[in-house]
Amino acid sequence: MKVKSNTSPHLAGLIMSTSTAIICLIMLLPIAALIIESTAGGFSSIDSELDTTFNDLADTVLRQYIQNSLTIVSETLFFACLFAIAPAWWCAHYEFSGRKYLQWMMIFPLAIPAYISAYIYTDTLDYAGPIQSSLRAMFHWQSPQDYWFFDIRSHWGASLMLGLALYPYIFLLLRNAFEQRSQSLIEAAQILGASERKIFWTIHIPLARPALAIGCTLVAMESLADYGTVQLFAINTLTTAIYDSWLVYGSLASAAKISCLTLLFVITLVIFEKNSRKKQRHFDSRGGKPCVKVKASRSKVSFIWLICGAIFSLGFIIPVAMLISYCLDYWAANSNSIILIHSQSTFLLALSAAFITVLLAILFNSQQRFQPTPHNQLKLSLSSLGYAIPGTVLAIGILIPLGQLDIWSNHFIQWLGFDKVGLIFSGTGFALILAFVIRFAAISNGSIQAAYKQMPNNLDDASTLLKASKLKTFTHIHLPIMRPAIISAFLLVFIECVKELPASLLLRPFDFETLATYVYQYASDEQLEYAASAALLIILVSLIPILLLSRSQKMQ
Amino acid sequence: MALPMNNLAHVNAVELTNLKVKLGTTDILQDLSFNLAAGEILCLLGPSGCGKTTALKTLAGLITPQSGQIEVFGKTVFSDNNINVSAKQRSIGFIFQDYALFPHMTIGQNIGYGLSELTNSDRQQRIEEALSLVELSNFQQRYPHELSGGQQQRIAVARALAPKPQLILMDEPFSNIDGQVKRRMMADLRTLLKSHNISCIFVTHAKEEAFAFADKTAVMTAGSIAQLDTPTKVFNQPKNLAVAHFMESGNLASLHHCQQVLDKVDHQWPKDLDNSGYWLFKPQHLKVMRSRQNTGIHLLDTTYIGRGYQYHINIQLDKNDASKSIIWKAESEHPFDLTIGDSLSLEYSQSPHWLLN
Repeated sequence: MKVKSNTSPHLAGLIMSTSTAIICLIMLLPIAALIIESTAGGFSSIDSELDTTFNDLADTVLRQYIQNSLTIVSETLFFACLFAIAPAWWCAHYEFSGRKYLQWMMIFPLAIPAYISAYIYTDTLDYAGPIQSSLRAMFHWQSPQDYWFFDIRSHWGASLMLGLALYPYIFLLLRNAFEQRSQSLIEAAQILGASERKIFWTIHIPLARPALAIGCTLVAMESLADYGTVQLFAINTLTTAIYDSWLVYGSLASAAKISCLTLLFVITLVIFEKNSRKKQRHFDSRGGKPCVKVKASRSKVSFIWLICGAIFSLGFIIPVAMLISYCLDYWAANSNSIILIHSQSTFLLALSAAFITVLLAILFNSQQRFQPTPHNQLKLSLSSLGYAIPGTVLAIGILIPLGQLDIWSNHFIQWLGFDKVGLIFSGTGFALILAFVIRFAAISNGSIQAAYKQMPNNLDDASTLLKASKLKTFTHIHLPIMRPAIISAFLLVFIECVKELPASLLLRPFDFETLATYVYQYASDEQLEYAASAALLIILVSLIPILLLSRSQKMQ
Repeated sequence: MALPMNNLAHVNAVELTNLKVKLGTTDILQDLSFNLAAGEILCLLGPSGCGKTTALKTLAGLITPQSGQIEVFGKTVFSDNNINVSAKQRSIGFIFQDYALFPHMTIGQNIGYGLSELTNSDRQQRIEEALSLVELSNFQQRYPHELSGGQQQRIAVARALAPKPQLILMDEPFSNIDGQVKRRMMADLRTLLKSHNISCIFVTHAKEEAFAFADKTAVMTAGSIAQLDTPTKVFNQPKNLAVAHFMESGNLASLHHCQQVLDKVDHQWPKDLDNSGYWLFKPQHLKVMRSRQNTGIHLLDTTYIGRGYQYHINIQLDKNDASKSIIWKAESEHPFDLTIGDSLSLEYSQSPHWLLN
């Protein structure tokens, strides 16, 4: 009897393998395009020879831009740690009334884009704002020389806004790290005579260090990628330089070179983050009995609520209250049909991107499940790389090849004897959807990968031994079990697409706005009052993953 | 449920010949060979990491071997000669250690999963038959998480039996069940397999499961079979030191220190002692008595083990060096009037078993 060996690759497997390899290459195209454009003269070598923008920037202000970026990153880290570390310890270590609510309230600021807070605080704390006006009236001060007041339009102000929006990353990771510490470690330290203070500094903090490092890296990456806040405060950083190089000076080569420079910083952060994750695995002391919470005294509870309440108010309550007040004061502008139109187009765009992203995540992960080869694992990892690329950098990386593709396709169509079709790739929603898919593939990949990890391989073996084909195993076993993960991946990507600003600003088609770009345009024109309802809509949508997260942790 | 009576009694259910399996860079199975007669139950016994589960999965077709030959009921399903029948075409039932019940499907859907070639009514009838076979007829609409461990195991059996395989493989099927339930499950399942003449190979590291469930036991060490025989023979007459150690067959004494031991044990010993092996002394055949003289044999402790008492005895091999000693076990149904530290004399009532190193 001769039966074809089941180890030989089937045609379907070959087609799938080739398709995922091509998709992976498309997802890596922006990085490749940036490197080509910034090194060998790029796709348009004649223009780039004449283009001296980058050299001019390098000779004059680039050093200052890099310095500003690093200042913003380090100051944001300072504020984020300041807002996150103590509350994370209090919520993990103490038992007090309302703790369960407080630990979720502390994450809410994640839903507010930093540029919205930045606008609101500038409006409130600026010279002409209600606070300084009231102080002047109260103390009869006549001019700024008569008193000192914190200047919100500074790098400290921008960092404070970013710190308020980003500290929940550190808070969440640290709180989990503190909570999952094994009680036996603490008891062992107590038996060996350590005081509570000593246990904190010698057990809790060292063991939570990798989690703190991961949180800090995420905050650093987000603050490095920020465009909205720094632009609003007129602080020139690497992201604003990329934006200006392309939109103000029209130099794609210069934008590509600054993007590559930014990528170098990002790669350093990614390496740091990966190392911290590796360390976290060694430091993980879960498995034992989790730490027992200590009942907090009354004065301590008051103190915790006072500090955490202040952070929560600054990060969430005040911005939301101000937006509601803007919305009511300017109701006519906030209830017009334009917001509805932009909402519809944003949601449509986000739905398409989320659908494609989840589909690709299922494709890459199921391939790795059925054929767990290093080759397939590499494709899966490469397809997730986009999360680290700042939106502005990614947008430039997409504009370069799509712009070239537009030129080639128009030439080809003209050669066929038809009229030019215009920018069908770089000038339509296609570019934006591609950017969203590359940027957020890591989120859906992570969700589906986690679902597959929780699914024992024995289920696949059982299905095979019960004569099911791979397709039947996938449709009847994998998909139904993964349904919750697929839904949450879809929702998370959808929300990120709705919130995304830097890439949307650069890639949106002519006369097209997403909710984020619409709100940002008004904020940068100092007229956020007219787009407050759209800003509230973004915040409302952004609260969904936080509620999902709280639900999933409750289930755990 | 009318499973087909095996009319291939003269054919071996399984024949493995020189099977080699390598996972990554590690050799897991090395020249694994054994036969299983139709209708027999074989236990693959061995310590963790010896390749038991790999052998089972290779036989099922879930792992492709590097070389060797596998025949199932006379049909070659794998050979070096480019034959490799896929797992789903081998018609072998498999019960996983964690049962691998599909969590999102009802019990009925789980059992019916491998019966897609049947019409709806036939499938339904087969599901009902399989459920009545494991005495869980009313559980068809329940989900796996609503069942106890024992019930889940029975559903896994029903699902594996529903497609009517002639051979069933089980990967540590009783490891998640305790005590009384486990004993009953083993008895019920053995009766079921025997009544339908289904051949079975099951994997375990617990030797008492081999005694209770299997017709034959194969002790595996380092990827190959060290001994295959009836469970009692493997226990009482282990072929080599590794099997004797794993089966905990009794007290072992190498010839190196045998003479000193034999001098102390009252027995008519054979004359033809060999330099290359070990003597195996059964604890239950070793009688301990208090001695007034210092024999160099002392009681270390006494333990009650349910069927009687077990004594740990320290036998000093060198009169001048207390550190040179071995520890033996002796068993008795009745307690001796002994206290720890007592000097003892030993009497051996049967000929010890001789085994090669």
